[in-house]
Amino acid sequence: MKSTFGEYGGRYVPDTLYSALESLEKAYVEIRRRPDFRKTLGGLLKDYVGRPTPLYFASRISEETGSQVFLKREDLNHTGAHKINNTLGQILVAKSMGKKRIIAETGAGQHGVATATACALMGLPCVVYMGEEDMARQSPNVYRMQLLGATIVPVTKGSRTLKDATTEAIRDWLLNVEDTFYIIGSVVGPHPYPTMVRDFQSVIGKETRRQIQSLVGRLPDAVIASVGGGSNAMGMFYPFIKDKTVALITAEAAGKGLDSDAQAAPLLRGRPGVLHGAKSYLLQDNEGQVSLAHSISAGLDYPGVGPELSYLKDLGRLTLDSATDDEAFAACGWLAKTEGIIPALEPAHALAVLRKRTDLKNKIVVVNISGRGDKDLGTLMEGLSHV
Amino acid sequence: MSNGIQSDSAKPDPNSAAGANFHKNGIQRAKPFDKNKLKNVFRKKNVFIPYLTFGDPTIETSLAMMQAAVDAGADILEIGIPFSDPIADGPVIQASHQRALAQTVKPTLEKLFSVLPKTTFLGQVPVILMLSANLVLHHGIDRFFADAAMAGVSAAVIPDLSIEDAAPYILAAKAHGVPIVFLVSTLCTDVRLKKILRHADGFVYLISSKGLTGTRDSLDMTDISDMVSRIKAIKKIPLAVGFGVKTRAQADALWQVADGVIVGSYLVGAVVDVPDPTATAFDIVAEFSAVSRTLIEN
Repeated sequence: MKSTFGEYGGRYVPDTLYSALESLEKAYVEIRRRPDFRKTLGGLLKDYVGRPTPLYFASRISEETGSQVFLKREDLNHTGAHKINNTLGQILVAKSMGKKRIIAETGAGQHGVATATACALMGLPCVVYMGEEDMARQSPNVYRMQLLGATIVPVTKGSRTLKDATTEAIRDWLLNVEDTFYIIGSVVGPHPYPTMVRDFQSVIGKETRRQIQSLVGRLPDAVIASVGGGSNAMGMFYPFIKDKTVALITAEAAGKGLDSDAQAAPLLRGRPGVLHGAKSYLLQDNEGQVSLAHSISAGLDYPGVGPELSYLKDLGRLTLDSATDDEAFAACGWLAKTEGIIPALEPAHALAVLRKRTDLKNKIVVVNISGRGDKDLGTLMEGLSHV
Repeated sequence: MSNGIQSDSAKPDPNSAAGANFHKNGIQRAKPFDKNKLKNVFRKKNVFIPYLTFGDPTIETSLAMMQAAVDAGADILEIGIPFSDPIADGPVIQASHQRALAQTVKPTLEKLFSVLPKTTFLGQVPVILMLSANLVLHHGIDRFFADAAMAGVSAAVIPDLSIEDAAPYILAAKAHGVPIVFLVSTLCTDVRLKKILRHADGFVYLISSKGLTGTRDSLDMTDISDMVSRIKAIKKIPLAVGFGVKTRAQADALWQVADGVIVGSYLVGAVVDVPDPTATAFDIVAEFSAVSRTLIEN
């Protein structure tokens, strides 16, 4: 298995973790070929998660934008987001390796909930690292994880968001590497995580491909996905990479403005760097210290991005775009009022990009609705009261 | 208090590396690095390598602590460059990096390269740097090793750089004569150990326990001596053990099997634990010096 995407990715970790990553790669390469593994995962995705998720033609939004807009309804998955596609895959790998304890990091809490869910299902103890700031703004997910039996460790260091939660999870893994499996929630971290997470998430793009062909008889002109670490984007994009007629549009978080200090758009504003075990585009200051990201959406509030997306950017395969906090917030209400769907703040960035791009008129466009908005009600209500 | 920096009016000491190179225009320049400096240290037994963070609690005080460590008997000085997200370090060193980065005068790599040649300790012991891969990458890989050589640095430890991703780093390290010291843990497989040792230069940094810097209460001596034998069977190279050493007894036990002992978190922690909140930089250095001495003196 290749450990890099062009110059990106790799395994920037101390030797202590290296052998654990080698064993993980070996186990994953072996298990993904096994028919019984595919059957078990396929069965869980169908009967437990509720896949395939619908590809819904949003007629009122289409009318308003002049595009033919299809929404990939990952919000209808069990636990309310795409994250469960990955955690079920990884927990089966963990079980096959005989690991006794699961750890995870979480930003918005969706990956934490999806990990806690998979652990409850498999009867494994679960520890989730979550930044204090994220615990406050995504409190429903904290209760959900506790209800599912997970232990939440508040991270009080540094940014108190996803970046430091990830650092703490890596530290836990370094200390307990022999019996612990680390379920990473995005296409980030050292090899083989970016590849493995992308593989488990690419069910999104594979279904979309099949569904759009049966609905309109051809491939879409564009697919849009929000990008934090990039798991919903890589899951949607991967099966379309070779189809050069399909534009792959990334919606990063411009926060309070792309050129302000308060943004989370490493593909647009970062430089190649090393964080959390991999090389990728990274927000950093003039001294090489990692900058604090900012986004209204906890799931996008991360200074790095997946190495494969970094590589696709350099190849010119991505159409890079972004949406500010305000635009995402507005797009959230727009979808709610126009189609009766409350999206999470993360996919609201993708909707905001759809809304402002005039070049998508008369085009067939798929937007990945990676999760539902229930977890963001607190933030949304607070915002509404300021309007 | 000596802050480790020679004043401009001080007469250059002909025996010190910093003093040996006076340019014609009077600007003091570091002597391009002496290749044998590191090798020579390992001719003696019981090599003591304290680790200190550059800029914690301030640049001045940290340099004075480094001088104190050398005066107390350090054989090699390991200087950590603070990073926002050091994944291999435990809570004590992470906190130390955070304190250093919170200073108004930032303890940057540029800053270190400019002050290091003026220090007294550079002329006394080999200085090695420990820093995260991103800081090297950001500085420019080739430029980092060039600047390190100019500043008189004897080696670089990049804890999150794996041998598999190290090709451009090794190339630059060789070109400028500043070796990369690779970390090896007791969990390393034979195949990988051979790969690492093929490129190992200067010495090998053996991680004494699985996990993070400074978080273990006890050392697994059996694992360590097994690992030392495995390494020595493959390559004749000096070995220093680090991560988790906090008593003289532990250091003594490690010196029985390894050439050097690295002490980081315990010393860095001792600085923070200075009981009096009004302690001056001088008190901190005195306290630090006392702690260092307990580790090396009989």
